[in-house]
Amino acid sequence: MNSEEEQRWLLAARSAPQHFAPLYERYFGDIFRFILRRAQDRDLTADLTQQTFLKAMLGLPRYEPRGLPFRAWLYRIALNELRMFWRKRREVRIDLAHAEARLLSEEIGVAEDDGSLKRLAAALSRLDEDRSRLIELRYMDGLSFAELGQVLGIGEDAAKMRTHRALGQLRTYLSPGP
Amino acid sequence: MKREYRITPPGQQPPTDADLARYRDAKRLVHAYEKAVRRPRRPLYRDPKAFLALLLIVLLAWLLSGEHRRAEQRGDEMPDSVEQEAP
Repeated sequence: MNSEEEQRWLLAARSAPQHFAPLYERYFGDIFRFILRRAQDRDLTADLTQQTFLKAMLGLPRYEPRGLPFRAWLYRIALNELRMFWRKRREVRIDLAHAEARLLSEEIGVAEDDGSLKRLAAALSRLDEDRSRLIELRYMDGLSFAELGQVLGIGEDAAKMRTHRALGQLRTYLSPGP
Repeated sequence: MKREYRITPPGQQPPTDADLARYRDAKRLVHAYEKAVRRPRRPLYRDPKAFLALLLIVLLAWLLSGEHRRAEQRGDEMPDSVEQEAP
């Protein structure tokens, strides 16, 4: 589905909810995976995903495209749903797939063996919430900087700069001590 | 809130397209949407339970206000009787 097609479906969905189905089919997998890595349980993930799409449908009249893909808006809603789910928790566990961890270790410039990947996961846990979220969205969920900005409510340049800083801090944590 | 990252164990596979298809249900979503936007079919006064509850609240309010009025009247009369008894 290209951007123009997406806009057509969005316009159609505003007038009749049945026309939301192609958008749901297109982005269900992305949102499901996004939530699953943060909620772990598949049934719970299915409920949160359903809730995300329901809120998107209800909020469609207020949605302004601004030239960005619809999925960034969906990620933002999903993140709010997760925040509500996490509200009463002291600790949150986030799963990092091997492939994503390798991609991140390549970006940082560290080895890709199992020991290094575990150290990378530990270093990520040391980052503050805002910085770790930037890394997650960029390297695990594969969002562009523009999408990242839309999800977090900041500009594209700010998203780029903050991600760069977060990567720098990760490198510091992973560098061997004196 | 503390965030803990974990490398997914090798045996744990991400959901396949078949797994996703099992959870994906556009009809259920549209149904949930229609349920969320639909206005209540029956107005409150035509729902027997809601009507009874409303009636009880009105009755209780009427009784309480009546009791309050009577108590106020008694309160107005009380000081005179006290003055008469004093000497």
